[in-house]
Amino acid sequence: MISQSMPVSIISFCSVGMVVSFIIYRYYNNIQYYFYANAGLSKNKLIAQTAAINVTGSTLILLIIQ
Amino acid sequence: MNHQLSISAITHYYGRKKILEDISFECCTGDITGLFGRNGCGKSTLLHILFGTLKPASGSIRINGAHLRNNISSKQIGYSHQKIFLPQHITVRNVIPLYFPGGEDQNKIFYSPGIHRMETAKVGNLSLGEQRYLQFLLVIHLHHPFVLLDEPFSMVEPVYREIIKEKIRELQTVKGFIITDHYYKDVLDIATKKLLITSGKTIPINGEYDLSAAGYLPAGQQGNNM
Repeated sequence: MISQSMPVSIISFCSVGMVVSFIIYRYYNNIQYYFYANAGLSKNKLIAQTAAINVTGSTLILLIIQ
Repeated sequence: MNHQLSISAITHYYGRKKILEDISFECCTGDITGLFGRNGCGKSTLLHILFGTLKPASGSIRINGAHLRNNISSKQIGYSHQKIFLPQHITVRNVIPLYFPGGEDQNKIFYSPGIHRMETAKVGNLSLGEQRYLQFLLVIHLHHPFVLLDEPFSMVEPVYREIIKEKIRELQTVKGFIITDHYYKDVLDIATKKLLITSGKTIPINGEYDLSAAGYLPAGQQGNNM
């Protein structure tokens, strides 16, 4: 049962989960983007990097558990 | 090395309302440009445009003659926002290395006045004035040749306000600053260029008399800081 639901959870995490976390971050922590902007990371770059890390991590976990 | 930030004919609208009209001025290494103006006159909007988080309706920004296309990734202009943008759940000791991985740069912050007694505290547990002071220190020590400071003196206790002014003067030799704050006396004290934004345009000013004449200060208000 756990091994069947795990892939679904991981796929949800790295698709819907990312969109939800982006919306929540934008709503509650929008000002914090300036912290990263001063360090040279634009909002788009930050989102792209976060998505890449999430997808890579999730794919690795999926491959390991299957 | 001397750098030159050129702002040419910046115009911006909010809806149909023209906030900035044909704003042009220059800020070079060594300049401390003070921007004055009433609430809503477009000071912060101009800083957002210079930082690159807002696109103007028209106009251009150049650094050393080259058109500035993406300030954020090119790391030319640092910006201390009027609101606190520091991560709130990290200690001061851990937030400093996020901007300055190198020990020498870190020491500039760690050995700044007042930092020692707050370094183990979480940023969110500091007073607003302390957070603003920390944010100021982090931004001015970045290697960017220009720094925008939006209300650096607000909520900050007098001792720290003096330290902020000293730090700006100290770094003036290697950076250019654009500052706006309603603590106009502090800004007048350090500014080498003074501009008042009114009706969307900039007017060069010399001091409190001009601020009063332009309606920024009520008549007879000169002498008070705020």
